[in-house]
Amino acid sequence: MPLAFAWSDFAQQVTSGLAAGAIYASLALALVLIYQTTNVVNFAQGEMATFTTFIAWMFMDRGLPYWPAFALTLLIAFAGGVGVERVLIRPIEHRPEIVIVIMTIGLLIALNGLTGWIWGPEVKAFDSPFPNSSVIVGGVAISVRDIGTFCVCLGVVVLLWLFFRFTTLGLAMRAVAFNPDASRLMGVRVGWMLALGWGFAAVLGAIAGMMAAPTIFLDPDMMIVVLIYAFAAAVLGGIDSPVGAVVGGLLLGVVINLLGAYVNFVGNELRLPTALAVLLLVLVIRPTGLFGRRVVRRV
Amino acid sequence: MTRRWVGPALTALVLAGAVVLIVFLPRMTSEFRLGQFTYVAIYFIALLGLNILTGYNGQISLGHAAFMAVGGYTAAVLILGQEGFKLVGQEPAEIIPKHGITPIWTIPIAGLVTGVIGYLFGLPALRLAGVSLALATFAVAVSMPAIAKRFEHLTGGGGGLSLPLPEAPFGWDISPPHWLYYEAWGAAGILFVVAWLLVRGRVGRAWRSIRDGEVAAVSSGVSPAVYKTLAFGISSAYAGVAGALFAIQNSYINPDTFPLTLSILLLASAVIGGLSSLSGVIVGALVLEFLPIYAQEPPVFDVNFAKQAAPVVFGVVLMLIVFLMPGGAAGLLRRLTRPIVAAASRRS
Amino acid sequence: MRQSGEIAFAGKQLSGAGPDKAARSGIAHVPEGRGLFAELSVWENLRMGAYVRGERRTIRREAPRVFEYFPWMERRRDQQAGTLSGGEQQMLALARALVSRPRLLMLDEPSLGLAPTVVQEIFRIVKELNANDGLTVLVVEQNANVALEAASRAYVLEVGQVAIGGDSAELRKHEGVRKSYLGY
Repeated sequence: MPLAFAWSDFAQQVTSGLAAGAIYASLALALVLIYQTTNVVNFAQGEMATFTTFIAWMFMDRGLPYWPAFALTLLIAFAGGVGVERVLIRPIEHRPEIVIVIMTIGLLIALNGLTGWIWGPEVKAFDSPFPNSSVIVGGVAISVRDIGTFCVCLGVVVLLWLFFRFTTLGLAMRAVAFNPDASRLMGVRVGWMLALGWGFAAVLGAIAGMMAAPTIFLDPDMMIVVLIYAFAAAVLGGIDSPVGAVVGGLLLGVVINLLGAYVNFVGNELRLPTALAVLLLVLVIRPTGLFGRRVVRRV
Repeated sequence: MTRRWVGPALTALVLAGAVVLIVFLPRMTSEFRLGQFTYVAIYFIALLGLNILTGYNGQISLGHAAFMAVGGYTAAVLILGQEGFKLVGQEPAEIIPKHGITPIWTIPIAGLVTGVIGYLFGLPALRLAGVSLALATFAVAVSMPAIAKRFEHLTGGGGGLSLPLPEAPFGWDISPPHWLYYEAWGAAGILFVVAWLLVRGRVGRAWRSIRDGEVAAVSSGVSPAVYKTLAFGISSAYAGVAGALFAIQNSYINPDTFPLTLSILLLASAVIGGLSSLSGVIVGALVLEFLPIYAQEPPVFDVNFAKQAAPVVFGVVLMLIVFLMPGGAAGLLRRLTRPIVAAASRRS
Repeated sequence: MRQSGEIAFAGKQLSGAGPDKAARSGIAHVPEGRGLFAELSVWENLRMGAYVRGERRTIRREAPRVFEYFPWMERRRDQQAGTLSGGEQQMLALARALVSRPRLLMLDEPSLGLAPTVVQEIFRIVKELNANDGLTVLVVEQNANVALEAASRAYVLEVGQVAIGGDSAELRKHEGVRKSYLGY
């Protein structure tokens, strides 16, 4: 324990935890989007994010300013996500869950290798659109980058929420997630809704990647740990609950940061195992997570 | 009338051929190549365990390398012993006196320890259906290096532990690589028979019934809790044995010896070999050892790809297998040999 | 399974096409078990009914008409569909099908598991739709009494074959039908 407990220090840990948590939340939401529609956890989500983040880096390396590169990357990510669903998942969508999981693992391996093959294994610096300075709010120094990260991630989450809530397409996508058979009867092209879900998930992943990269640096393996936190957040919130994923992500970001800062045993190295232990504990007590629906299994 | 013995006889013939090949291989190949085949045996053992869990019981593990690490560290610590441990990092491995247990005996102990740990992990993991278990094991694999580094007093931290090369027992006059080769394949043979007996018997039936429908299994009196944890424990024990052999063969272990990549590639190899087929496991083991080597330097073309070519090829092969031959190599083999067996079984 | 024959609707081939294509060609199908979106609200379910014809425009035009038949729906438009009673769910499924302004409405076992008064109510509305709007309705129904009363034409299917078919008033007088299906 630090000798004296300082509120400003504590608040700083919380805010930086929220920034990290917003990144976990984005990726967790991506996982939930795919889980809701395809009923499978996409193990390649992190590698898809890494790959697109490298694309953004390439644009900027060629001289494109940050935000155009950002937007262009999101477009590519969207197309990529749709493509992955159409080409890889669609042909096997009626096979057992384990087969689809293995497909995403195949994609994980291939994308991870491809990223390293194209851009090399060296760690690269990635620009942040936000200055590396801090503002003082109520005696607490908060990093501008943290605020920016938080706002971008949460802003996208809110946009997505508005989309699902108020547009026809969003409604149809929700309908497909809940009841694909009935959606077909309504004239919905279910296959395309699934592909759109993968597209949005890829966009969320790309944002998480681009927001994480300035802090954790760009390398082919950079999203693996983030993916684990996102998994934990999604499971914590309930793997079928978008709200749960966001709350779970933020909660996890803050808790992990505080544990790392204030519990000596945990320190820097054991954050991940601690997150894992917390996750297992939650699952044992509440298998459906904090916001999850109870699953009724068919015989 | 058909000759029912033709199928089993063919299997026996192939098995006998495999045994002969394994026994005489060391005379036909260099010591370097031999080392690669020792790793094949080690992967064979790990994949047997993974296939029991994933193929026969339907539980996905993405963390088997972490269980191998448990076995590896157990063996390493036992081999070094208290006295040897003090000298870690101070003296070269060769001259560390052998205070600990003879390496070969550490292998079953490592299997037992890992099995118990796997069993204990399986208890809470039981509550996680399908994908959540895969996630939990994935998280274990990712956190393992951090845990190993944190508990430095047991694992030697990032510096790792160097182990002395074991010598052949009973004054057997063969070099350590040859001894390690026979040791690994001996263990592989024993564990293959054990796995074969397990999946063929009552336990195997229970595992498969759970895999094919848990609710139906319960209604026919099979307790998923008991059999799923059992599968996890046995599977981990296999991983532990493989990890111990790996550490001994590698004569060095550190937190990066059993990376996440290995966990993932183990699962990929199990699928490529063929889930719920013991004969496919050998294909999986060969793929896991040699595919990365040949992907980088294809034997036919005169090119040299980057190191990253290996995972790309691995991933693509895995995806193609999922698309084209869901039974993996074993499924393909079955399909190819069925007409032959059928023809031979028919009375002319 | 051996399949033969073809399905055509309004001159368009539907054989082998998915249910979404059938929906787009103007068939509204209320399946057995209703196929509601239990997690969505009453209003969102109705909006899904309008999806096939351009959601925003259609729902604005069709909702008042549907609320005339089912006034309670307007008051409870934000209720989750899964929390409605069985009869209300059947009515919502029917209303959702109507929103799409179908050329053919197909009802599969609409009476299943519902109280007799609710069944009467549903068939009253179906009859009204047919009479007022000239909507073509195809009902598959075990409850032969109710079905024959509402329908103008009826067919008895036995092991996949049309055994008897014709005017429903005549069918009601048919001795075999009376004995086997109507119970008198």
